Amino acid sequence: MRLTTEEYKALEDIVGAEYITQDPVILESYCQVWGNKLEFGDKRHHPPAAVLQPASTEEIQAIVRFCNKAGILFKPSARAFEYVATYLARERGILLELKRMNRILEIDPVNMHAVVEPFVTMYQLLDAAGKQGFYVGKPGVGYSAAVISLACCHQEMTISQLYTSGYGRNVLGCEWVLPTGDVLNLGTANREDGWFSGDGPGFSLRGILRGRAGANGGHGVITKCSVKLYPWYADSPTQFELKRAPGEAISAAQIEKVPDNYRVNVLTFPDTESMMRAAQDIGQSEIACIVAPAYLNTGFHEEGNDEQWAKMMASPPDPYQIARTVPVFVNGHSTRELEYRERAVMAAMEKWGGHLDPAWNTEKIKAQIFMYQIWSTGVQLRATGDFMLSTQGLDGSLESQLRYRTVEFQAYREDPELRVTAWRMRRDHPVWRAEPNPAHRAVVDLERSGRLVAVVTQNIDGLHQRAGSDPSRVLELRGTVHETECLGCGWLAPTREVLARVEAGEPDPPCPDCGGILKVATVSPGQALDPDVLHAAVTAVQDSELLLAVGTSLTESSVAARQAEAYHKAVYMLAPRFAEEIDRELDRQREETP
Amino acid sequence: MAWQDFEHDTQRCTRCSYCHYIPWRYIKDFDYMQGCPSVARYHWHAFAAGGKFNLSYSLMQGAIEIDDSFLDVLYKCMMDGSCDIACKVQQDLEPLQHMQELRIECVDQGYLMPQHQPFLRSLRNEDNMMLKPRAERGDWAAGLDVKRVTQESAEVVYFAGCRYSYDQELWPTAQAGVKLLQQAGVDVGILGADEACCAGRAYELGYEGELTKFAEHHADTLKTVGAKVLVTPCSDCYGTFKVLYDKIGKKLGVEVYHITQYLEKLIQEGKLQPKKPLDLKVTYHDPCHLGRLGEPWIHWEGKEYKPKGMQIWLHDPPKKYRRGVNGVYDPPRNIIKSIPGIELVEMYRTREYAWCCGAGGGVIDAYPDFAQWTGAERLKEARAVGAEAIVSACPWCKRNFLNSAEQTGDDIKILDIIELVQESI
Repeated sequence: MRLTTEEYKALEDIVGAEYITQDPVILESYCQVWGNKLEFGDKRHHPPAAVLQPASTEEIQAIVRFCNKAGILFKPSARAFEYVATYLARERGILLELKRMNRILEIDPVNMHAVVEPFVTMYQLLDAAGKQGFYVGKPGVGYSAAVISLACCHQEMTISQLYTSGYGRNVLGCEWVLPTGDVLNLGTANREDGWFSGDGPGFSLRGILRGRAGANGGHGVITKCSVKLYPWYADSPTQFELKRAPGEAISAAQIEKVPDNYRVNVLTFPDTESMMRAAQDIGQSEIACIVAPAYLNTGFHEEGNDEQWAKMMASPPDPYQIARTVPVFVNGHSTRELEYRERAVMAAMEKWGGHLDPAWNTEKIKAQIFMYQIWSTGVQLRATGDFMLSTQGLDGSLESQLRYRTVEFQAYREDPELRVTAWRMRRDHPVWRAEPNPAHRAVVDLERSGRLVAVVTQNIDGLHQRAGSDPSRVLELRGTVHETECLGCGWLAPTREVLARVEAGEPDPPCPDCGGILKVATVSPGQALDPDVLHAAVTAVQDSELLLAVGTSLTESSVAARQAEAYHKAVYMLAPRFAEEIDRELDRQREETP
Repeated sequence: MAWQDFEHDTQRCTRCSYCHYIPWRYIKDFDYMQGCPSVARYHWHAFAAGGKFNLSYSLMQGAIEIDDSFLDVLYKCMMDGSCDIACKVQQDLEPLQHMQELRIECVDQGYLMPQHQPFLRSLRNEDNMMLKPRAERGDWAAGLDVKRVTQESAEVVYFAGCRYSYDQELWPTAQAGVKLLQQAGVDVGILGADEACCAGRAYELGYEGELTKFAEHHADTLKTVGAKVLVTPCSDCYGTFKVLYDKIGKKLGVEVYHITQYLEKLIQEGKLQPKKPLDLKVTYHDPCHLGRLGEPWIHWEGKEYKPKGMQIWLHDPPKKYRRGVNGVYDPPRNIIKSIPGIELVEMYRTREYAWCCGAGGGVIDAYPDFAQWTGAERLKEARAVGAEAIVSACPWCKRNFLNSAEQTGDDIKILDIIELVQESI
């Protein structure tokens, strides 16, 4: 929906004619992000009514105030790489692309922090900080991501979290244009004492600012942010000398050795369990700067997918070895510190029966691993050809990768062996033994108090219904494991009946009506969400005043959460362990309710 | 491939914005991180290659139609290929080919840019894109003692190209190229008034048929005159002869060299000896059509597929991507280094990551202000690294830099590499 001429003019007066557009052609490049396909079934969603590129906090405040007055939705966006970065819930909404606010305002080497504007990327900060002896961690999503997006707005992590902490925890205050248009400074910035502390004097609202998953632009606009910097004991990674032969692809460019004040050891263990135990010991002792699963660390990607595949086929990686191998990085001010830390790593390795496989511990491979982890400018899971989904193998284990494969829809349809494995895993799945917990029961209480619009869940376990929730109010976005359907004719039956056939010796039971393939009625990767359920969920969020996020970090794509963000709904996250407290709070509220 | 064949690319573009910049690893100075002049100048993502993928998908969806605004976004682009190189660091996509096919589609559907039409008429009627009569094409060589290959055979045909043939200010350079070859004892001749446009620029504008027509014409001409080797001082012509004719299956049937490749060989063989010291600090500007776009074409036909149960897109047969690394980068640098006294300083964006001069893709004709802005950005970069002169190897670069300098009042020296060698011999 277009803005009225007067509305457009008012916004144009704020940013200037060059920095606002409602050209329908240009707007099409602000409504297509890959997450839309996951969430809404199509990469393209409705375009914004206009895109603006404000240059200052004051301009943003003026825009926000005008939008509030005129009933126009607004959403900030920096690099727009985040997977629903440009999604607006209503067509009468505008995007603020913050590319003109792209300065690093301060690098404070004494208090070890940097103050940046919204369009500054992690790479830009790494470069500036690296030249002064600091490190910022490598974002899993790649260096294109903006510092503020990672720190304040979106769930993000880094492989060096042991050492550089998670980005959400590195915020030392920020300048925040609230959805009202007022500016709130968090931490010491509020007293104009500098940006060295996020915890006062002044508000420390970092929990609300981002929570765990981030509000993705739904909570106003962060216009400046101070983030912590961590010591770096080598030349700045952006200044590394890369060597590649003439004619080689740039992906082939490498450093020749690990810098002097760093050590990399690739530890291999008898099994995954002992590898995880050793990693845990190393992590808890706080001696290492990076401990990461081998499959993330050893991505010596060839220049393209075909080359990569050819290499894998010529010399297939041993998945069993990868699943029990972990590269560990240590660093130190001095040789003594470095050696001490390395000895501690070796002690943990020996304790759990590990060894250094010579093939994985050459200078060259260690240098490659170092570069890929510290600084490779690709995304962690290289986007080329969708090589791996981020949902694949989250714990790095072979088992989880196999599990993922068994539920990938296309593979399930095509591969009888995968179906046999899937039915066996379903039979043994803990879901059949699961019981509703206090959180499920608290939701039932809430419903009985008459305040619940709906339960929107990505769970497939049916525990809300078992706890007593009205089934018509439970919207199961990802379907249910309790029913099984035929992919051919739509035949439907309780899953327990089909599992009984598996138990009786049918490893991949066919449809009794048409002989087609049976699958539990869940939405697998590669399958679209049920549009009716999706629509009902979106409507429910729109109809409610408050969204309670119970027992979820919202880190997976939650439609309800995205909607809430887009509508500026209040979102409260309640971890499962707080369920009993909810119970008590609800009791208290019930008592107070006349 | 037609533009619709890139639908999968439109879906796989993750909006990482690599197409806006030079690859992170190769950024040397953040004031010079931009790779795409279009999005740098016009701000909006639609102007970048990723935005063009979006526009295509919207066209397929019927959400928009080709209109003046669409053409404006599509043609405010030099087709310089910076986006293509940066994208392929991260993804196996073909942003440049996609934009090329979109332009071809616009022309096929009759959506023509009015600004281009005089140049196309000039091409069709006068065999050049310079709005000049065919009869004047050979004037640049008036008084030059060189064979006309239509009259007497020569081993090497020196192909001047439209810009050198008609841009009088650049004639001395075009002539110097011939003289250097003659000095080295090369049996060289020119086509003179019988030379015609390579049609590379017309192809970039979307006029596919013109490329085929002129490719066939040139193959016939060169066969008739019995040429074995073609040397051109124009990078646009080089890219067209070497890459585009091959792409459409119309190879010329002669060896094609850019003059920098040929001069480098002559210097290495001792047939040319730059002796006179030049006390000058220069920087070298890589012309797009000689550098990243000068990489030989790689033919591929096949299908995309995902191996069973795997999340990886592959090609059958395997597809080799043009990632810009095999362009012509070292010969011009080697020539400069062979000149005594001269100091070569590199700019922040070089080789496959070079910033465009601003002339390409028809921008110099349709959007001269944008072309000059782009050129001025490059001159600023040359200044920033302390160069007294910016040296290129293409008359289009030189022309556009001259225009930019005139507009901004920049007095940096703007030279072609031929002039440097001539000065030093």
